[in-house]
Amino acid sequence: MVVHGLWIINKAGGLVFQRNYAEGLSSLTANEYLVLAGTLHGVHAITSKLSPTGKGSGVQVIEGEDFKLNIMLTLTGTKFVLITSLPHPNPESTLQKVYEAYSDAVMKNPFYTLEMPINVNGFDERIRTIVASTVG
Amino acid sequence: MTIFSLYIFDRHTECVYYQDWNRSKPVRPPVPALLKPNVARFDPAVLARQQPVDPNNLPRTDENGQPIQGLLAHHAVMQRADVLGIGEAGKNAGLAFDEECKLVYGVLLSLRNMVKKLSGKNELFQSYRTSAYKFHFFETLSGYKFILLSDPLADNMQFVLKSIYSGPFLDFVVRNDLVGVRGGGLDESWGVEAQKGKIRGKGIDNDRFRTAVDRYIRGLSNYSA
Repeated sequence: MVVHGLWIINKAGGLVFQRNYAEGLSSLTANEYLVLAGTLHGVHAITSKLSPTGKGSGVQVIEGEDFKLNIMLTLTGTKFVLITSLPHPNPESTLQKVYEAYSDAVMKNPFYTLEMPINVNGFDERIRTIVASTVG
Repeated sequence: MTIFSLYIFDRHTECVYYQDWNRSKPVRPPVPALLKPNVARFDPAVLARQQPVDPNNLPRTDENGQPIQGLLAHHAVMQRADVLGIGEAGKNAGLAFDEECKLVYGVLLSLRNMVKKLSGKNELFQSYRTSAYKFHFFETLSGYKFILLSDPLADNMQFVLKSIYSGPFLDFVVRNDLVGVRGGGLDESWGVEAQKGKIRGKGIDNDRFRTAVDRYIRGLSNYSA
């Protein structure tokens, strides 16, 4: 099982954090990632509207043939997207830990401006540790 | 465990077949002018009530009796049409069928491109899941796109779509001379209507296909009403 990468999308659909942690997927330009994040933001809104039962969240997991995108929406509208291999057993708990790190290292950082790209060394390091610990 | 609905799109992005089972929020039938023949079956009585919203016949005031004006007027009036139950919408303010088809196809196309781009090697998009449903996708070589919505806990159900394709679809659609190659039926009015930009072709619906799909889906282990 592999963690390919992590994206953080702000509540307006902008990509504020994107890192790759493993080979296997094609690496795109920063601009292409921005476009994909925007697409995901839109698709997320539509998928909750398409619910045949009338209620329900937006998309949570998207599966390809070899990888999946796990999406966590926070109460404040920020989306955390973890790209993993299909057999990854518990991406939700990894995302939860990422969210905790985000709260500690980004939200409590007085030099961080809300909704802007995240350039915080401490956060990067903590994510690296989380990703390394979940890859068995 | 349950199955909600099946959509089939042709390679021209048109929805050519629709069937649903246990939807607790049913799709709203479209106004008859927008309903392509041989795609979906709606109760004729309900369909007859789906008349286009007449903007001149709608109240121009909001709940407090204040007139609705300005930029939001049009939007507000359309929304009130739903709330007031004009065109059957009051009872279940769901999406109209034609709108829903566009959204399903849009989501499918976006995700397909996203998966293709991320993988960098033409990987295929297979499914997505929300807390309410799971969306399964299978595409044939000829570009027909089969989409099944099931409950969110279902496993991979592509085999279901594949066997609908290799069973009922081949038997009752492909081997049926009355269904045109293009996916639309052999209908002389097609060219005229298409030029008007109104209705493009026909669906692939016929009794045998619908019955066979229905029997197959109801026989699945994770179908229960």
